[in-house]
Amino acid sequence: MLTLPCPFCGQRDETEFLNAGPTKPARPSSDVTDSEWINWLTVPENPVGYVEEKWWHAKGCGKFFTIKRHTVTHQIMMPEEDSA
Amino acid sequence: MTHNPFRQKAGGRIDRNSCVEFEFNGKRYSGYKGDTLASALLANGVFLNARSFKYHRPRGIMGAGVEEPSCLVELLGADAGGNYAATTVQLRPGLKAKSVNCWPSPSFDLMSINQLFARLLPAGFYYKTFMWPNWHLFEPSIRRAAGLAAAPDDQIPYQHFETRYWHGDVLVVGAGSSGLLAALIASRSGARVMIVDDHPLPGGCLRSSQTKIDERPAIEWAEAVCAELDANPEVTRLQDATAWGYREDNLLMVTERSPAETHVFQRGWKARAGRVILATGAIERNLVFANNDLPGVMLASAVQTYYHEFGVIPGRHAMIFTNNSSAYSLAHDLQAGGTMIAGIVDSRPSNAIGAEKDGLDIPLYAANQLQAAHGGKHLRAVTIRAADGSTKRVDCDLLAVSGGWNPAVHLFSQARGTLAYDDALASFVPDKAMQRLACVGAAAGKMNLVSAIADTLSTVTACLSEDNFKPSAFSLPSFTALPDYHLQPLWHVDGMKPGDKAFVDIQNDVTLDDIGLAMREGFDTVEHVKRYTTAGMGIDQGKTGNVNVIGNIAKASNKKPDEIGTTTFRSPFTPVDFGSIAGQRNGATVLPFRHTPITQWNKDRGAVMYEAGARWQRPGYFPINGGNMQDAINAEAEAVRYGVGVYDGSPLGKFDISGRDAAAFIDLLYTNDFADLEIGMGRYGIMLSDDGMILDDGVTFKLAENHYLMSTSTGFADVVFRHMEYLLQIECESWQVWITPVTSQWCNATICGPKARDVLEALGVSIDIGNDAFPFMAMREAIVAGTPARICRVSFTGEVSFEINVWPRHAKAMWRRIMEIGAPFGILPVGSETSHVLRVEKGFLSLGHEVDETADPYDLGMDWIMSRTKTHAIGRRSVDIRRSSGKPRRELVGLMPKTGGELVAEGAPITPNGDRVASEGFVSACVWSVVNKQIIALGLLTDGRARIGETIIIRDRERVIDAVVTKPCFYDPKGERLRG
Repeated sequence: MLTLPCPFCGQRDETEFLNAGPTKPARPSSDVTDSEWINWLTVPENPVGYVEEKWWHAKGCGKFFTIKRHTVTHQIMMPEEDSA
Repeated sequence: MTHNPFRQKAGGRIDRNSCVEFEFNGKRYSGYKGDTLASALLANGVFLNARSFKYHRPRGIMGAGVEEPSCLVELLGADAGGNYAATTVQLRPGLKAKSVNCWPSPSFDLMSINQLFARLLPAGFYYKTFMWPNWHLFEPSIRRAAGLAAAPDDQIPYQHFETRYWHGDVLVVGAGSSGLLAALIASRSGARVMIVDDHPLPGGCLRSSQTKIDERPAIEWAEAVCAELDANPEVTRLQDATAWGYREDNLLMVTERSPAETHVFQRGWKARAGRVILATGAIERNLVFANNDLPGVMLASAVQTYYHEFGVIPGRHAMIFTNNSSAYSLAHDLQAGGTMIAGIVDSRPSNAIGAEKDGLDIPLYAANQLQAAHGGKHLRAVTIRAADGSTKRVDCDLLAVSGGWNPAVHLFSQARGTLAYDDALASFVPDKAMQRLACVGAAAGKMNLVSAIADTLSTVTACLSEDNFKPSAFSLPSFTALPDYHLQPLWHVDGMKPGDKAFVDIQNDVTLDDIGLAMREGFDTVEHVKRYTTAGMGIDQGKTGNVNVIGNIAKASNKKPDEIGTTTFRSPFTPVDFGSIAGQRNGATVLPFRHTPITQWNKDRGAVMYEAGARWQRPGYFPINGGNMQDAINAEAEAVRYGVGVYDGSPLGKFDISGRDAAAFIDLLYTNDFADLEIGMGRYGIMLSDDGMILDDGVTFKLAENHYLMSTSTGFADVVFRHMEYLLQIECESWQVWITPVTSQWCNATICGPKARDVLEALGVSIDIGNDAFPFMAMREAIVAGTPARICRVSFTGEVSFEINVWPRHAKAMWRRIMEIGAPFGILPVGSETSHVLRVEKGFLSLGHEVDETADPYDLGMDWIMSRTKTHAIGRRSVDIRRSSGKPRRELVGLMPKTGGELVAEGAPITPNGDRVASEGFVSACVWSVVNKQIIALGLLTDGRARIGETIIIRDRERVIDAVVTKPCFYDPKGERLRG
């Protein structure tokens, strides 16, 4: 079970959070092609390595925040940290 | 009087003044306080106490702790539970246990006939034989035959479990010499420490060691350390507690089996530490020779434990078989205790045998192997094979076996640490740690006590310094030196005959031949061998056998064991009671029910209560005297259609939405236009998820400029809240919108039916409620029956409805008042069954019925809700793309099933021509319509709108039902009544 760094509440147990999926690129404007829209909608990255994702402190302050989580090791770092 | 024929006259750490009576397989025995079930059985001479998993071979106790592969028991009565190793069950007065895999008893087991067919039951037999038509057809009876204990039938009322959290600096697993030392150093440096140990008493291998520490028996040192730890309030010391799971971020799952608080049966700990020290020791492994599973064959370390801990020597005439030096200490113990020893068979050449043999006066068969054990239900003799192949038969009734020691790397490996093969140990040792942990002692492969202790000191000190503690100088106690640990691997003995059963995994009945068979059939990696043969699975997870499996795969494939690798170590390390994981989270405490202030009134009225989404308790229907459920529903529905009814609409999800950008936000959420909505009016809207499927529907009222009250369906309020928060916090960060969930802040009683207005007038209302002053879809603030209220004119029933919203504190009084004032009008309370009937008659959609995350508004015939001008609403683009493909869709239709009055099950498929082929739709709801006096249904049907008038066929299990397709509205299609 992970501990996650809530920007308001600090390091808390995973049970207080809900995962809200990987960070998506900004919502496309209405003039993108259908296939661009479908790609935005349905093709998330699934790397072996760090994935940037959203978590919701649902049983806490209610904040959505962003972290990077390693899909193999579950190592967590902040999005601004270098994961290279 | 305790009659323990195999108990020594003295010795052991049992309390000989406290006799404990217990029952095993229906017979009464006695042991002493401090015994385990296993030690008590051995003391009583009960050596045959199990039957093996597959072949039902006679089995006895082989180990003395968690490694026990053989003797599994089911506990009965107050301790009810299954599949405990007898070696881990503490003897308690009145304990009742039975063997798990035999009937009627281990000594006369009917299934032992399997042994005769053993030749026909090789690895993979079940998979190969019971493939057609379907393994699941055979599985139940095979599982029964090759069985483990069943789960206890009843919940034991006084088996109270609880969960506790611990957060600290250092968590030490194992209270042997290294673990105690680690905890001592950490606690003296000011760290908050927890130490857990799976034995009832601390000390680990010190408990059966001849080592002296500071000139005193080793155990006295251990006890002194514990006394110091216990005196430190920052130290939590748990005995009889197993750390069985290692999770991310140094979270360990611990089950404490005998908490000090007597009302707690077991306690599950979730312990999170800055640093974990694994001092889990090592587990002795078996040797592979013919009949190595016979009762009387035991691990050498287990025999030693029974001798030191319990004063039991489970035989009169012992033999030792080893490939390493450690078993010699048992020979010294037995010799000192006066037990007859027939000899030591050591597979190592005599020049490799060192100081361990000094002082022994027994035959030593160096460079010999023990080829086979003999006996029917107990060991009687062994065959010893010399290097030249000559054999010799020697009588004995106890064979102590040592195949060397495997560091207990289970937790280390669960923490994703990598393992390395150590040639000197012929086993796997921790390599690279992936979490903040360190291994010390035998767990780190340090088998020599004296050097292990020195290593523990330096390792723990380094960890503490790294973690910013300041460990004080620590002087190690002086240990008397023991002979060095030395081993030569022996993966299996030579000279076995065809048909000899030599087990690599005792618990799962996996033989050396099975490994060979698996590899010949192409299952030649360790993970494949495991799955094909089941070696390493089960209760013990191959604690005594896994490395032998790896060694034998390596030997058979001419590789080194490190090229073979290990299988994955999984939690739990030992079996765990579900109760200790669940703790107090049991029944309604897992997800508490939600109630409205009317719940008790409903119950007093005799309502049958339902759970109506999101754990809300709602009345399903109100039974009437002399009538069945359908009569009650009909009466309630007729009241609404022809008179007046009232229902408690409080659980409906409600959100107060305000802020500068609230209007824009509502426009983003809903597919239809809200821009022209007037203050004081509401509008029905549908919101979609990003993939263009219906997420929720409901009415949103405009309270003021940029101030709205949104209602959502009961079960989806939480989902909608999350959806809105996600958008606001992630996509619309600069927007100013504030959402307040007010579901429980507004309760409502919805008065509905042709006489609804009359009832409201009679209640006393401060505003004009005529249709012109207060039209459909309007909201008004008013005083109703002396109480401030918000009245909404929405309708989920198709009749004139007034939703009287009041604060929760007024809800019960308002409800009673409505029932009282409504009585002359014939008002009836209405349950969710009736609401369902009324909305099906009207063809109003219901989430979870017509809408199941595969439907969009067009599918439901709601083209009008997709704004022509506003295309930026969430999900709109996806709907448009999907519609542009022109592929057929399932569309909402009405159905008139010809059943002669019987209801059709919701979810029943509609298939082309009624054939058993892929469905073309399904029935989403089916009710008896009080206005149509017949069965009506709603359904989703491929191209349904184009097929109105057709007859389709519903398959409700074995029933084949014709139904005419209609428009999805059976009552007042123009909606004149609800606007009236």
